[in-house]
Amino acid sequence: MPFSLLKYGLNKDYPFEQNADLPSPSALKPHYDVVIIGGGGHGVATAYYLAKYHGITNVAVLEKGYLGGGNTARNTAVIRSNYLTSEGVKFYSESVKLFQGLSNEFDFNIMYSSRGQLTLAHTDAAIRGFRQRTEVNKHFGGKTELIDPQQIRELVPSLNMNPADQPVLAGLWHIDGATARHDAVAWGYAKGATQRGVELHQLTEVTGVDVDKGKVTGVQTNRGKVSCGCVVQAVAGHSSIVGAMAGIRMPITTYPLQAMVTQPVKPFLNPLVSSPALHCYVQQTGRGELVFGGGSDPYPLYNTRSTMELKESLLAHAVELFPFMANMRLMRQWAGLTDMTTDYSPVMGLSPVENYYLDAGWGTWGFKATPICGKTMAELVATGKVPELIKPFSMARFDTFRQVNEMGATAASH
Amino acid sequence: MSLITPEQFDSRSFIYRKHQQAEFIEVAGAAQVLSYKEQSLQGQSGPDMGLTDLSVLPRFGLRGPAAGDALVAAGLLQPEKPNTLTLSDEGLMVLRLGYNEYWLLAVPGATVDLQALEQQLTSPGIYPVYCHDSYAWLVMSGDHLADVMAKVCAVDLREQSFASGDLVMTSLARVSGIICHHQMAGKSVFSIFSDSASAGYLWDALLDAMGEFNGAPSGQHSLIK
Amino acid sequence: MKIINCPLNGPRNSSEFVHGGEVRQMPDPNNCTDKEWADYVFYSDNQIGVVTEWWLHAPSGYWFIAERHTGSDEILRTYDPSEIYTSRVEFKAKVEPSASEEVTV
Ligand SMILES: Cc1cc2nc3c(=O)[nH]c(=O)nc-3n(C[C@H](O)[C@H](O)[C@H](O)COP(=O)(O)OP(=O)(O)OC[C@H]3O[C@@H](n4cnc5c(N)ncnc54)[C@H](O)[C@@H]3O)c2cc1C
Repeated sequence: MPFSLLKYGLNKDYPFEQNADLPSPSALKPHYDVVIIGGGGHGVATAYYLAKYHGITNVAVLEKGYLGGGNTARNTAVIRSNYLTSEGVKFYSESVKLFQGLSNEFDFNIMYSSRGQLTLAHTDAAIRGFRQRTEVNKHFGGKTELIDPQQIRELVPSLNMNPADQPVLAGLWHIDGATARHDAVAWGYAKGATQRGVELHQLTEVTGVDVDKGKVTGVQTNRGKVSCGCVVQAVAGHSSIVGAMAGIRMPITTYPLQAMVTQPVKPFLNPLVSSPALHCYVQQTGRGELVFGGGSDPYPLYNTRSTMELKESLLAHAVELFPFMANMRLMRQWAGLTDMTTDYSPVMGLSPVENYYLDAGWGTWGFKATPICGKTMAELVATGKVPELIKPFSMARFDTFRQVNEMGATAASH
Repeated sequence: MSLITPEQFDSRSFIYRKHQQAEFIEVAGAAQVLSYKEQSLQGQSGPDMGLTDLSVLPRFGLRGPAAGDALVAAGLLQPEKPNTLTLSDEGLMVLRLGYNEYWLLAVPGATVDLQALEQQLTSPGIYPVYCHDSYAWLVMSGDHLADVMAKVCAVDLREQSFASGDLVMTSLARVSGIICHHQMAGKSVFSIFSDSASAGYLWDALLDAMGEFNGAPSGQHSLIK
Repeated sequence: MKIINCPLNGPRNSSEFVHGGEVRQMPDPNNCTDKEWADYVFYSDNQIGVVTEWWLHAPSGYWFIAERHTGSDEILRTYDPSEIYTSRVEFKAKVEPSASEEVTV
């Protein structure tokens, strides 16, 4: 044993404290220019870009649990931009580009792994949809192709080409499709933000929002009251609950979304594979585990329990896709609360309350958007103007019946 | 009765291709399995547990606030409680599905004129229900009905909780269906109605479940006295 | 599996049921504002607490009403819709002037 370690063993102070990724907790200040509710990826990314691009550092991120312990920790980390609408594709492609540079930018490895994502078509109607998505994606800067069964066999030799008697007819091959270490993304942003002076307060729950003459003036927390110039709400599955504190009713319903992971095995699966018809997607992590998930639970609920029904149906479909998986053991399963909109697009931008900004409705698909959400929300806070990229996602779109429909391009792929 | 092939008829069971070794007869203008070859060769009355496809037999449905009263007025037996059935001596079976829906069926060998009944049972407050060409009608017979069903269905179908005259609408082998407990040819049987689109799947699934009790397909001759 | 007590069919596995959304008062589609209609169609309280909802027992096609806690998932009560709806809900389409009347060729 090196003697230097012994020195630390006998020392009363923890020697790495000064160099810790995150500063130790401090008292809440009475006033911040910006309060961000929710210390998930979206919250800390917003804080990071506020500090980095706009020099705004009198910012507090208030998190009721711990950093990235919400959906940021629970998602299956599919990153892609092959959506259907031009609004969606433009927005998510920007996010994918930011993701590609994050490890460098943070000097912190987020294990970004660009392995491509394959979505399977089992019907002619699905192929038509894929053709459109291919064109839209290419047009707005993504890399996507429509491929035939032979190419699918070459990409994924272990795939059953006739799962559940629904033959695979074609594939949407999204070359930009990727995955990353979700915790590292939150930590990278939090580290970069706090180094620039932003305060991250964990175990700090917002319990009320003070609104005066239609304008937000502060928030109440389990650690006391804080006044502020503006608020960014980024609380994922709790969007309607925190929104109600500010008197805002939302076009959102909260459903649990479950996922599970098997024991690790030798690498055999490079791309992320998803089948909308079988409500199932599968990918192998860098550690060799198979992660799989499907659609949200069938009815609204604020509860992160796991159910037998979902396990049964999801596993049945996963085994159809990869029959040898029947011999594998399930290691963990979990759920997160997803804030679903009817058009499967987010709710971003202004709210009915002045200086109260929304980053909500992220449902089952918001991990991939973490960088671009942070960047656009920071720009909104700093300039007071809604960035072009997120204008289509305003909450007001529901009042004018101008939804941005991404349901078909989202459902079982996230 | 002369033997025929189902292809000669516009109307035949959804799963007629599954009845490979079968002898068909004409019933109500359609091809119906009389018996299976190897069974008639062996000269047996049928397997321990039988599964019979009665999909082609006539039936119709009605629903609406006036449907129940119309049945009583027509002098037809009307099941008193929701989810029960009655069976008359002439072979008319009346299912009461929920509060306001009724199906009228003719069991094998019945002497009722369903067409005339259907024309008679019309009035405001009665809406037709089409249950003939969209549903398969399978009949399971034998001594282990509840044991077989316990393998594919979560509802307790043992005699003490599912007596003759009861019916349940539930999920069996993961598809929706109606299970009816009644008598045919002096035997307790379960009539099962399920979407015609999944009839072939259900036929195979039920036979698979019946396997351990010596179950096999059987023709309608086993259900006629 | 979770068991739901159907007022018509009795206790059954939850997989036999389909969730049908909250029971709400529909605004008059012919006279309400766009905002009122949007609120009815898209918006929701979505809080933690007891909600009154439509549920369908799929094998029997039977709709009923359940009071359910959205935090614990406990179903407190289920009942036949006739407890709330005593008469048939009618939808009247707005009488638009027909196209042929407007076209003057
Ligand atoms: C099982 C599952 C799989 C998924 N798979 C994918 C995927 O493959 N790809 C993809 O792009 N997306 C996926 N998602 C969606 C994605 O996880 C989310 O959209 C995204 O993480 C949202 O980020 P966030 O930072 O807004 O939310 P979160 O990380 O949930 O952060 C919100 C934070 O707000 C905090 N909070 C809540 N209320 C309060 C309060 N009153 N006061 C203070 N703090 C509060 C919470 O504790 C939480 O930490 C998945 C989600 C789940 C559940």
